[in-house]
Amino acid sequence: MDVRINKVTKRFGKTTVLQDIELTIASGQCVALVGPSGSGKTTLLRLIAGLEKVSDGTIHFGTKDVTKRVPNKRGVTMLFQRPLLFPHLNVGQNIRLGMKGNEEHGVAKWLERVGLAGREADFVHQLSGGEQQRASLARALAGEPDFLLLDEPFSSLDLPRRRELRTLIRRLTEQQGVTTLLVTHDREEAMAMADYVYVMQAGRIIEQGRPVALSEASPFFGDGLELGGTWQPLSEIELVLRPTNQVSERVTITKELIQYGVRFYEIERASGERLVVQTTERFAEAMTVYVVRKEA
Amino acid sequence: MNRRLVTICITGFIIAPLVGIFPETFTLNPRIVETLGTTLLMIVAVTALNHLIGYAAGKAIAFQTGRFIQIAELLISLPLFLPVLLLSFGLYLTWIRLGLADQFLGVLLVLLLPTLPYTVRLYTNGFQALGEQLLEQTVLVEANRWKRFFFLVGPLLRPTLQSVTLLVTVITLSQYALVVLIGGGVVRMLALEVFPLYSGNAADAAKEATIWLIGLPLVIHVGQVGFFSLWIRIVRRLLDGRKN
Repeated sequence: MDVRINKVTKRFGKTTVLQDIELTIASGQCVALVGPSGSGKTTLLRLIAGLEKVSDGTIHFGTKDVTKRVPNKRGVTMLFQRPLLFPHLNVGQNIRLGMKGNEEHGVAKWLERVGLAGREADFVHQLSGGEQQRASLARALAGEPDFLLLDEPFSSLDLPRRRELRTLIRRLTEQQGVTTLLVTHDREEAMAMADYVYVMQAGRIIEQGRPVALSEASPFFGDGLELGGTWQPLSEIELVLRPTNQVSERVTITKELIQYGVRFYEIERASGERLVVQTTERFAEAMTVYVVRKEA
Repeated sequence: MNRRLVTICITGFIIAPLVGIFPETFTLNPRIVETLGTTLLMIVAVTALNHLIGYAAGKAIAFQTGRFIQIAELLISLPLFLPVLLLSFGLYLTWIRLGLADQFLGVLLVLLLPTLPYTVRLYTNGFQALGEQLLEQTVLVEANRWKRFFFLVGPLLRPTLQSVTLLVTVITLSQYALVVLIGGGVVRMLALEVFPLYSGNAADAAKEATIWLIGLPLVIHVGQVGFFSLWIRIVRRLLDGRKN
């Protein structure tokens, strides 16, 4: 489902916090909204979720104008900074809450997918912070939403758990074809997860582009990405290319670089075309990579 | 001081005044029994109104800002700063004009004065403890607002709901001056029968009346603990019964 934000403005009293925001997310794409604190990222996310009312402009999900729809009629689900599981229910009951009853996968399958198999009867306080966030992710995706909103869901986790969870989110949203919008002020997260990035400042979008292109040009990303760094020649493996999700082909990895916690590979396809791709996954057969750019 | 000593001290302070309140013979005083119906009805009505008003006001105060909210909060808290009797006398004069003096409804409304400020404060704290994001999560998860309350918000607010019910019960039971002033002796509640016994010489009758004053809130509290446990059990069973 495509998402289009058309000239959205948000005012609180006389203060304008968002001004003429234009943003498009293609179906199945993961878009990151980055910027410093107070730039209006979370407000925009809340407008899209329907938790705040739009002052001017429209929000379209596919062909439907959802600007005035209540949150639960929009087909969106949201993952917050805290897991926000309901403590009077166990893990399985929390996940069941998000389901309508006609979903393809049941609770047990979802627990397995998020690495919590056998924990259905556990209560929230029996889970660690990372496990709670994974259970929360299962609840968010179990209802098969069209659109997933992520409001800095990794900020309460330590670095290894953070990397593990974002890889999990990207894998699951991709499998389900869920359109995703991530709000973060962490450039590593944006690099690792997004197909496309919007940079916000003082209630406006000031830059947009593919993560690596922005990292080379945008002041928000600091020093930029040096793709000419220490490259390691690697062996031949099978890769799944995004956004052409279905294509699975055997390519040759010629170089590897790790930066911002993200792995970048230079690959050569059978046709001779050379691409730079990125992934957060460990080196493995059939890993999912994101096309960053074509090399000359 | 260790925890056990603190517990013993606190328990001692609670129990000490109760020593010696049990009467040697317990005869159901017909004057007290006659007032139980009105008293229970009043407790139910005042508690229900407190929950309705407190829920809405507490939620607004917890999550909204602005001058109107500040003024509303101040007005609701006024009975905490001004003597309730002063406000009640003002209301009494108004009630006479409106024909509410000596009426059940008149007493019901005046009993909101000493109870509502605490109720609103409890609900405000309860909502703040849950946090706005958890409530927004309930909105995203469950579309129907009644189902949302039944499955999520109600059980989450359980400590607040229980505290409000117990507090309102105790305050309503112990109001003597307000009930006499507004009810004019026509609306007969337990306090109206109990207080004269305290000031008289009938020690056993006074002790028996005290048992009622302690017993009613205790029964109501035990009842509501059971009610909430059953509520949550039903919620969990219904969720377990859902497909998938």
